Amino acid sequence: MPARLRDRRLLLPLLLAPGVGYLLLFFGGPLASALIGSLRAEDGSFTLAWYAHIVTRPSMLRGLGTSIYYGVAPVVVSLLVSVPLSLAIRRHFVGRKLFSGLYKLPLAVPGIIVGLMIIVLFERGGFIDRAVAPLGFALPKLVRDDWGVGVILASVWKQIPFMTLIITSAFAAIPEDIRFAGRTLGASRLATFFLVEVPLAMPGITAAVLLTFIGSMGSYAIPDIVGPPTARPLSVLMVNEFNQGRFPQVFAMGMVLSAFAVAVLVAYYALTSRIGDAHGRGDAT
Amino acid sequence: MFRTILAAAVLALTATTAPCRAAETNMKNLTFDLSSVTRDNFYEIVVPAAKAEGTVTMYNFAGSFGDTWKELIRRFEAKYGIKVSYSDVKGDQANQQLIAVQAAGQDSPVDVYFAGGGGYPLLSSKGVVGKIALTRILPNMEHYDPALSETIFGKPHGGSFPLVHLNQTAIGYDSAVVTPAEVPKSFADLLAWAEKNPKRLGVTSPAKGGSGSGFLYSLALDLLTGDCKAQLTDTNQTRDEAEKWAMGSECLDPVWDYYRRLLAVAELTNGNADTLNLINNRQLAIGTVWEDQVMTFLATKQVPETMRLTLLEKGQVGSGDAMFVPANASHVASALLLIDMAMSKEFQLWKLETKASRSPRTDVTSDQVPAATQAHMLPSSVYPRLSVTAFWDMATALSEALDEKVLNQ
Repeated sequence: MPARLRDRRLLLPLLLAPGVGYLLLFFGGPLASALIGSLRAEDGSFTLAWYAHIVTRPSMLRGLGTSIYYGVAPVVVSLLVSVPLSLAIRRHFVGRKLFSGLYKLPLAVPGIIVGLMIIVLFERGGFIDRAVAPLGFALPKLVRDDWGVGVILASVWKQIPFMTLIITSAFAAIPEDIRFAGRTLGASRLATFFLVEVPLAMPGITAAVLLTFIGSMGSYAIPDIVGPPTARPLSVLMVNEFNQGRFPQVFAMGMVLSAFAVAVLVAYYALTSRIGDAHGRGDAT
Repeated sequence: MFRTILAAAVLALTATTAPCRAAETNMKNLTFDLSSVTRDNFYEIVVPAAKAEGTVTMYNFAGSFGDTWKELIRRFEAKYGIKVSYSDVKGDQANQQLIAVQAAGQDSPVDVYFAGGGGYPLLSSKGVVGKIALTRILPNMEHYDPALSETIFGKPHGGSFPLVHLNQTAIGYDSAVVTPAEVPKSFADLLAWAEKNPKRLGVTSPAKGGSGSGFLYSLALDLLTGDCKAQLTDTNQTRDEAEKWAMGSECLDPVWDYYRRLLAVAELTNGNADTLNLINNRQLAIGTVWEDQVMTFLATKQVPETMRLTLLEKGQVGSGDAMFVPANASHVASALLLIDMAMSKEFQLWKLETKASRSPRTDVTSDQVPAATQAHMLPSSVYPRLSVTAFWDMATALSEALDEKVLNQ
């Protein structure tokens, strides 16, 4: 090794360069560029007007709320489905192998196809509505409905496999002995699950929650096609602004969405580090 | 020998004058003297130059026009043997690409661009539109509507941004459900019908479809008078000025009031196609539509055969899309030839018959198409009488103001 490379002050940045350099170049660079762009008026001077639009215009404020709603609601519903599904997949049953392959299919379907599928199937007068009409039933309004039920349904359909995949791995990583130990010490199945398994799987569960939240909060195609035309999330409004050529406004909206994602990320790290500390102290259960 | 010397002299003269003319026309890749081209000598000069170029690149912003341009390309390649490299693009993104290319001083990646007519103010202000007086030199534009040959939606373009397709916003209805007596004739009639038949009228969201923003602008034209109307139709306003006025003016209060009443009983849809889909699903009986899109949907049986169209009194917005040569295009002669063929009477008539794509040619009218096709087009009792000129920057401004003042309150 050349003498110059033995100097730790030089060696350390060199070793970090591939990772940190990549992040700086492909994440930090565009983010910094967007931040600068969001603070510039059309004549190049400094301005906060683009951010002021976000907090003063009713459509933008509603868009921010809608983005958070479309981020949180599908995650809650997906979690309620994915955790039991993960536990079911862990067990042996006839056709388990086939099911394990099939449930992952939505992962490969693009969001826009999911949106169109919802319209074809669940639109009033659509496929299912026509199928149940002879029985005297009618589908409730699921497309363009004020509560975005169609958007949530579509997002949940798309997210469940991803979330289940991560949570299944988290549960699978827990040694069987620990569960048996809990049962041997008198805990019921339910108590073992909630007091032993869930806390141990929590890093995986929170990672799944975090990743699906960020994905659905920033999704464009599904809310644009299936959601109500009145309450449009920031992602949809951003594309609208882009189409108008108002790039500084797009940057400002992107920065606000990114700030939310980062805030959630920080909360995630705070939560997982506390879980980690608890494990370290041996009082996780 | 004399001829050789003369030819060399002409070539040298062309070579020396072409860059000079290029500077005037913002076309730096000319291989012929564009300034000497007239309607009379057009083919004599342009065809050899185009054949020497050998290829031409075309962008199409309108998804529904893919088949139309493929037919044009088939005819063009068969006639001239010039290869057309064709791409469907998203209009807003292609506009931004051309603006960026122009700002960087690079050659345009495209020679012929079929672009939305509403994009002219943006594209011209950024120097993207090639300064070629197409309407004055293309032989097939001899019968071009004089009202459109020099201006587009109130903005002068000097013949460089000619519409090759006219389209019309309209009220579409299923005649199996809506009787002739019930068909609304005015905006007031439409509201009354919607209140009598809740959730059976579909209004396209102005932010998500031209039939919606066209309807909104048409409504404003119907309700505003005097100075307010003068401001509404002042096409000298920039988009920012229009937006500022739309956000702050009390002139538009009657428009917002109308929308509040309308949206209480009508379905706001996610786009032009969404409105037609709901009519096809028999959920809506009347909707805001584009005439040519209805024809496209009819061809693929995506709306009922009983679909009919009308225009409301005082008029509804008519629009159109243009074909132009971008600044610093590489194959200018071929581009001129392709646009010329797109404007030929045969092609314009074929386009009208198959797509209800109205023509800017004065000698192409709907009475030249079969009666069965005419039944699905706007009747001659309302078109072109009730077609009014669009001002898309104002329509967009109204759409944004509607978002803030009505939809998100």
